[in-house]
Amino acid sequence: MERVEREELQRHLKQLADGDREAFHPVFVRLWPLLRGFAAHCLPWQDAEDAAQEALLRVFSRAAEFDRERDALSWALGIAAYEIRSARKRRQRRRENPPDSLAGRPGVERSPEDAAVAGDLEQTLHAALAALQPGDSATLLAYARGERPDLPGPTFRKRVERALGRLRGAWRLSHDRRR
Amino acid sequence: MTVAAEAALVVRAHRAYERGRLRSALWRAAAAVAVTALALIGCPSPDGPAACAATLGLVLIACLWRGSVWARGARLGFLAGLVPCLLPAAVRAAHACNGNTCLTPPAVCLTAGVVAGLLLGWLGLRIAGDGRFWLAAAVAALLAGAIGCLAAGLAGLVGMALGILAGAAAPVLVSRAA
Repeated sequence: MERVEREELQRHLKQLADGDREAFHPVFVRLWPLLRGFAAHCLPWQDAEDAAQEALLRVFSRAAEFDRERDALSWALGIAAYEIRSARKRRQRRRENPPDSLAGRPGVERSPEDAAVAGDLEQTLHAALAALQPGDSATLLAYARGERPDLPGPTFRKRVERALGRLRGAWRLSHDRRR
Repeated sequence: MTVAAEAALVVRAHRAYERGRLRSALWRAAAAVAVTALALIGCPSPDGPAACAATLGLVLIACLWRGSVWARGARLGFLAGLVPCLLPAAVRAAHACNGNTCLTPPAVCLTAGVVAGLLLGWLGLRIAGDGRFWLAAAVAALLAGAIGCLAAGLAGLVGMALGILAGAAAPVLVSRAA
């Protein structure tokens, strides 16, 4: 952030702390991209947006307590850093708790419609794989399992690309037939 | 993020801001009322002063939440009003109450009112507020002063109000004359 923008933010946040509602929009416009970028820099994208929103709401919630002598940018980024730390802890906890613990929660299980769609797609995939040459199927299965056959890397990558191309073609055929 | 999602975020941020201001105003008003509650110690009939303290709390919440000139006026008025609020209680504590009657001499309220008015006029002129500022300051000062001077009866209350008016008018008149 440039010096002029930083001074503007300082001025507007002071006004907001004083109760001047006119300063709300300028503060929002300056802070939101900044906090979003900061969160995106520190967190994976799935968590960054939520953390940035939480940080923004916290900044506005505490705007009345903003000390006019402090630097507005540092103050806002300090709040954002705390929210990012909290988001990281939440993420860590999610990793520690296996997905089994979510099994009992409503909405986690597939709905009958989702299950039917997934089953249909699986059948189409099997049909498409069966339509491929045995060599292509074996290459794709090895690739999906993360296995590397006794081949040079570039050769294997080319085979995978070619097999994927054929699979797409077979998929289109069998999927169109099912429609 | 879509435009609709960003608009929703603006609304949420605005609500968070207003809630934050209200929370801050509540805490500050509670602290202010707690200070004025010192004036109720030893008061034989605290109902009237307690009602004034509650009203002062509501006025402070409203002004501090609204902010800008309202908040500045209420803050200054409250600070000036602490003189007539606490001085009669201090006098009462120094001269123990006589039985159930605990009247504060109206002269104490008049003097305290003049001091509060001088503070209000002198500091208010430096802040250079508008009509809203003076309205908030006057209401907060009168309510805070009433908490201390209500025990002195109507004479104490009127004395305090006249003292504040005279005290505040003096610096204003001097500055206009200069």
